[in-house]
Amino acid sequence: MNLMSTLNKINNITIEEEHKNKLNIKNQIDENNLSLVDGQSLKDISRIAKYMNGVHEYIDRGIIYAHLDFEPITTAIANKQPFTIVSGKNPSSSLHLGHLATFRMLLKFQELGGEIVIPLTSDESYIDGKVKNIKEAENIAYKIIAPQILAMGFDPQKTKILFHTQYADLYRISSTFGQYISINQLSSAFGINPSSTASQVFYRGAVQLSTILLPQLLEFGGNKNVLVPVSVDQHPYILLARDVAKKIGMIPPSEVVIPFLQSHKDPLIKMSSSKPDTCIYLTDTPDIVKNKLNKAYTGSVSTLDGHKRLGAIPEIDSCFQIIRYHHDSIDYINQIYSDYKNGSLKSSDLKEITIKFVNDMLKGIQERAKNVSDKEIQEVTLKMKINSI
Amino acid sequence: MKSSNLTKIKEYLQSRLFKPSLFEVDGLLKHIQTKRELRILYGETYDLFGLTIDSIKNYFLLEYLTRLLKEEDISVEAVLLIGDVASIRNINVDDKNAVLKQIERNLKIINKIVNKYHLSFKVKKMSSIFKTQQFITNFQKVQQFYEQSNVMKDLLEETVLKNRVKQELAVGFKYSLEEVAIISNFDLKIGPPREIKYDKASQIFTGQKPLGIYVNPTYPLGFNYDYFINHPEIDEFGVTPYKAGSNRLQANRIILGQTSREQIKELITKSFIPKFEDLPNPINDIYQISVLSKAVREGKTLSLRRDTVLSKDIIYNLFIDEFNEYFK
Repeated sequence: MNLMSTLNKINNITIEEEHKNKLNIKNQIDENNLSLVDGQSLKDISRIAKYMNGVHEYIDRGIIYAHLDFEPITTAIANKQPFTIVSGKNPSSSLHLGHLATFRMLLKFQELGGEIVIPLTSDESYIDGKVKNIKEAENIAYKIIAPQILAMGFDPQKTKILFHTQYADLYRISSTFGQYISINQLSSAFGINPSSTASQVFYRGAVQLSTILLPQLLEFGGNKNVLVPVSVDQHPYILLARDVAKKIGMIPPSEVVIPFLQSHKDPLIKMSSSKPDTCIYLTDTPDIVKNKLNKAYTGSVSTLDGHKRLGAIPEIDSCFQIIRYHHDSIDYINQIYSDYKNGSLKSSDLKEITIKFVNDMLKGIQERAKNVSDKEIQEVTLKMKINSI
Repeated sequence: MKSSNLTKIKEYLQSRLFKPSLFEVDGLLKHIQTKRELRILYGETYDLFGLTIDSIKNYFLLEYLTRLLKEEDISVEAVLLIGDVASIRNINVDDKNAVLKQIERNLKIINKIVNKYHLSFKVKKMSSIFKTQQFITNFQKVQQFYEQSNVMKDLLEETVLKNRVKQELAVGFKYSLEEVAIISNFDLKIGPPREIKYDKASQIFTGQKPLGIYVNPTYPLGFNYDYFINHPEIDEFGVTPYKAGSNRLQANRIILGQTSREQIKELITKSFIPKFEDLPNPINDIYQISVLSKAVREGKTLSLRRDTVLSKDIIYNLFIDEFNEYFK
């Protein structure tokens, strides 16, 4: 008798009730995602997804599920015109599988004509208390994260990494653009309160939006379509940046929203790099991956008989979600989905498949990251001198 | 040979040529079965840019339906209404003359097509109908009804753009009432989905007539998918089939006697082919027009492929084989 089935016995619930409870979790996640698409500031992407079928795997798979003003980007992609994508990370530890998913999405956008700007926001890591000091975040950014990013296969000619705290002109840009945001706006967007620090206020009200608008400065070619893929908690940043863009005659940036990759421990929490037990890091060894995934939360009930009878709920299964976000073949994903959902694929087999898949994937990234040179990082480091503002 | 339960008509109306989600096919068939004598209307207005291939498609749709009904021993009088008066309403005097001249040119082509394909519908001008006593009497009745019916008033307001409501109210929605007075004399009416409001107004007036049969929207050619994403109103409603310059997209339409074969080829080549049935598919429209034309010309049963697996070259050749004489 396994742990879940023992717990069920203690809690006196049947297999059917266990299945129903899991279904409720799925419904709760669906409702949460749906409630974010209000048709005003965020729109459902499903109609666009039909038009773009086969263009971007993350749109096909429903991973990108909402957008704001994505239409101009579709024009750029359809007509092979350039556009820019800004998507970054606050460095507090190694990247994890959730970040890898975002970077895989960026890689595809790069193939479709996008130039990529990746801000590594050591300032944000510090002001949000994720590291002891900025130096620690800078070391992580330069020594761990940048090599991992370059190991993913970005085209160096179309990729720039923006190390926030080492790019002095960001202060110049932030001081300029921050002038267009009032404390009142900031309060309503982020809930700035009297205990917020001056650094937090400056970062949220000036630095972050400057990073988003930076590609439209004259030094980078002036006004252009910019896409910012975000998780929904970052949506207010985009609204602020759009507001400032309109005021200063830039093109309001577009946004696509991607859900957090769920933690392998709980479908209702996200993988978070500052909480080691919630995520699988790109630096994890095969044994650690195996250990984490063997204990992963599943979408299946606790008895094999029940699983075969009721099937599983892939939408809340952490292993299936890893496969869905990372596997190259949509046919393979669909096959796993259907076999798992109808109960013909056991949860333990899915775990085994996922452990092998993740370890093979990480092995490649870890080997390539080890060999990324300082010169390669310097080549993609954004150093453009700003004089236009 | 007669088919029981109007099966062929049902299949036809449920095909991808129409938008059965907008009308009740079963209810319509019941009406057809009870009535045994039907008057069917398809009406058009025009602009300066000529006669579109989409108009021709709709003539064939009307004709094919007529033939299926006749196979069932149902007496049919089908009418193609040339909305000459409606075409020149609300435009300046210079354009009015030019449009009227264009309508005459369109009529020549229409008559040629009617003869070639042995089309059985009557071609009638709106201006001629307006002179008949039957219309004058019916129009008065519609006008009286409108004065007393708030439902009708609300519905007619929805038939015009919001910025035109005031202007139309000033003339008592004359144009819309004329439309209602004409269409209420028919049992069935074929048209694009955007005509549904007129049909409903007429149904309120008559208590029943006409029953609308809505053709799938017409889409412009020569665009990639991003055009439809960026123009949601065209994604949803398409363009007006019989107005070549609808949404100023005359360069993206096939206009008889004007668009060259080379341009047609380019329009087809540049058009996006969707992977989902509910997305605009102008290439499939070209395929449908070609197959319809052949079926009507040869008097044979229409057989449409459900999927669009034919290459653009094959579809172009099918089209040119059918309509060669209208394009240089």
